[in-house]
Amino acid sequence: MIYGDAPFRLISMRRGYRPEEPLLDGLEEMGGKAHGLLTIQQAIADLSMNEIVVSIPRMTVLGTSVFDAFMQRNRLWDVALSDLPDERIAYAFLRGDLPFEVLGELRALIQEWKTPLAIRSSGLMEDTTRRPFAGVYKTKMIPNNSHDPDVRFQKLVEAIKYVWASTFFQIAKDYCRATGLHLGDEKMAVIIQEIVGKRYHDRFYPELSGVARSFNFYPVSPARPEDGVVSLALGLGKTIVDGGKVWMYSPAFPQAPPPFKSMQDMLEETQNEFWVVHMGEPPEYNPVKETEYMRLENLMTAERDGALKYLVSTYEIESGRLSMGMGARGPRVLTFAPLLVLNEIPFNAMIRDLLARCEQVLDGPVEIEFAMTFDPHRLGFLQVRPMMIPGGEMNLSLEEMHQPDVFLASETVLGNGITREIEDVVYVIPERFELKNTRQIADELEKLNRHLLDEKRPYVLIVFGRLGTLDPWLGIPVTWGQICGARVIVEATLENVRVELSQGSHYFHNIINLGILYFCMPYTGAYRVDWEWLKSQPACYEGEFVRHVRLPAPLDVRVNGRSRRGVIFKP
Amino acid sequence: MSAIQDVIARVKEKDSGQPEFLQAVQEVLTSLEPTAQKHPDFVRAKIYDRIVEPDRVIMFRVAWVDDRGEVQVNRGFRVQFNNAIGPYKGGLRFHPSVNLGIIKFLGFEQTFKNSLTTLPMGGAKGGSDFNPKGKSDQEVMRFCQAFMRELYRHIGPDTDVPAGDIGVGEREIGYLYGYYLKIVNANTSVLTGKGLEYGGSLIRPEATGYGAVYFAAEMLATRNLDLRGKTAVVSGSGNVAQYTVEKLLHMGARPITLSDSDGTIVDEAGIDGEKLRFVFELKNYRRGRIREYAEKYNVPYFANQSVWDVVREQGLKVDVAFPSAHENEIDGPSAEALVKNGCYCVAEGANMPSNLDAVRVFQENHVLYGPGKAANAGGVAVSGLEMAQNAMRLSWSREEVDQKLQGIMRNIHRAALEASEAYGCKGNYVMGANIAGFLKVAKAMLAYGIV
Repeated sequence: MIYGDAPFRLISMRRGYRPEEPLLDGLEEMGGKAHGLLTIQQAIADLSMNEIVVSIPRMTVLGTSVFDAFMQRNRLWDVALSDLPDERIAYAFLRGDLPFEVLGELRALIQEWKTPLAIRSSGLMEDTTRRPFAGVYKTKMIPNNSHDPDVRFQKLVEAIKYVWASTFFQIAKDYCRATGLHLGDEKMAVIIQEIVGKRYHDRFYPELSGVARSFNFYPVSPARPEDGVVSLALGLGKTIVDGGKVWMYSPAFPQAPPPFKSMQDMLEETQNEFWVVHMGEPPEYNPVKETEYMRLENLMTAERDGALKYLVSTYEIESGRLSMGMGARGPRVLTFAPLLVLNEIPFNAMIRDLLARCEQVLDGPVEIEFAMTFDPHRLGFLQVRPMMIPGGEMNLSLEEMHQPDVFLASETVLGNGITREIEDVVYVIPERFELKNTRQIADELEKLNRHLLDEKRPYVLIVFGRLGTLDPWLGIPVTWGQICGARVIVEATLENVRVELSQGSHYFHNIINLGILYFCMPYTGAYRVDWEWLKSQPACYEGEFVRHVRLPAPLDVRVNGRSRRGVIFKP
Repeated sequence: MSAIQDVIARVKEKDSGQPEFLQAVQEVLTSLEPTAQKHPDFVRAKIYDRIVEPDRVIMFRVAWVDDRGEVQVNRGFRVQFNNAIGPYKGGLRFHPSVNLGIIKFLGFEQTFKNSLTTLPMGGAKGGSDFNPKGKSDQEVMRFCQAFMRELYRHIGPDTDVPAGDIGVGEREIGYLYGYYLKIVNANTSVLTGKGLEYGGSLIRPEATGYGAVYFAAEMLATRNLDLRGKTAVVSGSGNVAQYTVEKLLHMGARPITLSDSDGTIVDEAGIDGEKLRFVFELKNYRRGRIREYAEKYNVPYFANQSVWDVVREQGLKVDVAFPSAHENEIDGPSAEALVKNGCYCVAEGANMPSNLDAVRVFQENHVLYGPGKAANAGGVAVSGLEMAQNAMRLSWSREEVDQKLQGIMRNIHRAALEASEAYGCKGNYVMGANIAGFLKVAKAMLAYGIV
C-alpha cells in the first residue's frame, strides 16, 4: 500500500482503514514517530538547498494493529507485564509468530530492499503523553545484505519482535512507573527504515548524525534557551542517544565551541569512537542484543575510510595548535569546523531552517534527528517530536519563590523538571568554609558521594564558590566522579566567597546528559539558602567541613527551564 | 621575631585582600629562614622586604567586540616582579579567576622558578579575567589583539618576554605575537611558546618528561649510580609520562608501568620502543584507554587502581619512581610502600604529586627526592632556550636543544644540591631548590645597591 507519492508504506491489519485519508486516526495506527514524520513531510519537501538534498529515508510502518494481533494471538501480555528479566521477555517474543496476514507484505519488502535497515519503535504514548521516550525503547540495526532473501526475512522478523519486546523491558517499566504511565496502554508500531550511510568494506555508517532541539535547557552564555542546541556525532546516532561524547553547539553561535577547559580537555572530551553497522558475519548469534550487528570503531578507521573531510580539525602536536580541516599532520579532532566555522556547505543554515519549519508545523519547540552523507550531500530526516516545555504548575511566580516553606531558590537555574524523590542533602557547613580548605572538602565530598552511591540515594549538593575549578582558591576542586551521585547541585556564595560561579561549565557534558538541576546563587542575587532550617535537621554525618542530612520526606524541587527559575520547597 | 617574620607580618597587613599571595610569601620566606641567618647583609639591605614587592604592576582596560557586536570589557594585568637576573619572564593567564592577588602570587613564585633554571630570566606574570571557554576563534583573536594593544608598550625582548599559561596556548600566542609585530613593525621575539614556523623551539612537548629523567640521573650520580637496568615506575600516560618513558629507554632503564584515570598496567618485561610507539598512537591519536595496552601485550591490568596502589598491593619491586599524573597522587602510605619495595629515587614530572606526608617519608628514608619545582623545570628551561635561539636568530636541531636541556637540568641539580649542602641539609632538594632560586636573585639585587 503506497501512501501518497512518498516512499512510505503502511502494513496494517485494520479492516476498512484507509491510510491515504487525513491522518486523524493515523496516529493511533502508526505511533508517534511515524506520524510525526508524515506530518512534517510536506513542510520539508522543498527544503533542499544549495547542494544539500533533504529527504525522509524510505520507510515502511508496521501498524499498531499488527502489534495488537501479535500480542493477543501469542498470549504475550502476561509475560510482557511480568517482572521477568529483559532477556526472558525477549525470548518469549521471539518464539511468537507474526500474524500471517502481514507476512506476504514483509516478504515483498525484503525482496526489494537490500540495504541496511533500522527497525525502530513508534509508540503511541510518546505522542499522546508528550513525554520523551528517547532511549527507552530499543532500535535494532540489521545489515540486510545476505544474498538469500530467506535469511534477510528471518533477521527482519527477529528484529521486529525484539523491538516489540523492548516495550516491556525493565527500563520502560521503570520509566512508566516514574512518570505515572500505564504500559498496558502502549501500542507499538514499528518503523522499518533504510539507514542513511555509506558502505566502507564491512562497515556501514553515515558520516554525520545529529539531534537538534529548538529549545535548550542548558544554554551556555551568550546563547539563550530559545536559541536551541545541536549535538553532532560521527557514525550512527547511537552515540548521541546514549549520551556519549558529542559536539554540542548553539545554532545561533555555530562558531563557538563547547566550554572546554583546555586543548587537552578538548582532545579527551571529543568523540573518538563511533558506531557502525557491521556488514560481515556477526561475532555471535544473539537476537536479543540491540547491538548484535553494530560495533564501535575508532576515529582512525573513519580517516582511512575518507569519511572525515567535513568533520575534523587537526591537532598539531609539535606546536599545540588546532587547525581546521585535514591539511596538517596529527591527531584528528571531531570539531565539525569545516561545516560550522568554514561553512563549506550551508549546514547550519539548513538545520535552522529545518527547526523553524518543524516548529511551525508542530506549533511549538521540537526535537529532530537526522543523518548525513557527503559528496553528494544528503540529509536524511529521521525523526521529529514535540519537546515538552514547562507550563502549568511549573510557572514559578516571584511570590512563590519567597514563601516561608522555600528552602532555596534562584533565577539562574540550568535544567528543567520536577523531582520529588530526594531526601538527602549534602552541604558544606557555611560557618566552617574557608577557601584554603577546599582540597580537604573535596576529599570529604568524595567519601560521602561513594557512600550515597552505594545506597543508591540521589542527593542535593550545596557548595560554595566555583565548583570543579582547577584553582582551589576559587572553589572546591572536585572532579565529576567525586560528586556524580548528586542530582541537584547548588553553587552558593558567602561573604568571604564572592567569586564568579562556574554555572556547571566544568562538567557541562555530564550535567546535560544526566539532566542535573543546577542552581546558581550569586552573591548579588536575591535569594539565600535557609541555613537555619538545614541546621535544625539531625545529621547523618558531620565531618570537619561537610554535613549530611537525611530528611523525613522528599524535597520538592521544581525548575522551569523556560524562565530559568527554580525553587526547592521544604518537605 | 626574625627579620623574615617581620616581613611576613607586614605583607599580611598591606595585602590582606590577596590570600593567595600571602600564602606564597609565607611559604617561600619561611623556607628561606636559614639564608637570613647566614646573610646579615641581605637583612640590612632589606632584600626580603624588597623581594616581596613587585617592581611594577600594570593594570589596564581591555575593550573588545564579541560576535554579536556587543562591547565587552575585561581587566588586563602584567605584574613585573623582578628583573635582577634577566628580562621579566612569565606566563599570561586568561581565566575568569584572574585578579591582582593571583597574578602577584604567580609572579612571585615565577621569580624563583626561573632563577633556579640558572638561565638569565626574571620573574613576571600577567593575564586577564577573560574566559576563553566557549568563545569562537574570532572572539579570541579580537580579545588577544585588544590585550596586546596595551601590553605591547610594556614588553620587549630585553624588557619582558611573556609566555603562555592557563587559557593561553599556541593559538593565543600566535594572535598576540602577530598583533605585536603589526604595531611595532619589527620582528623582535617578545613571546615564547611560539609556533615552530615563527621562532618556536623544538623539544617543547618533550621537555618536562625528558627533564625529569635527566634530573633523576643527576641525583643517582651523587651515589655513583645510573639508570641503566633500573626498574622504573611511571604514572600517567599523557605527554609527560610518554616522554619520561622515552628518555628512560634512551638511558637504558626498564619502565614497567603506565596509568590513566581508569587503571594501571604493569609490564614486567619492560615497555620497549615498539610498545611505546603503540602508547603514542593509543593516547595521542586513538585517544583510547591504557587498558588496551594490557589487552594487546597480554600484561596485567589493575582497574581503578593508581600505580601507587599497585605498588603497595602487589609488592612491585621499584628502583626509581616518576609520578607524572596529577597533584597529590602519592600519599604517606604509598610513599612508605615505595620505600619498602626498594625505591630510592623519586623525580616529580607532575606538579606537586607527593603530598606533605609523602615528602616527609621520602626524606626520612633518605630517598633521592627531586621535587617538581626542580625536576619538572624542563618546560621553563625550553622557554629560556627559545629566547636564546631568537636572540641568535638560529633554530637549533632537536639534538642541540635536547643536549642543552640536559645541561640545564644538570645545572639545576647542582645548584640545588650545593645550596642544600651549604645550608646544612645536604641532599634535601626541596630546601636546596628554594634557597638556590632565591640566592641568585638576592645576590644580584645586593650587587645593584638600593635601586
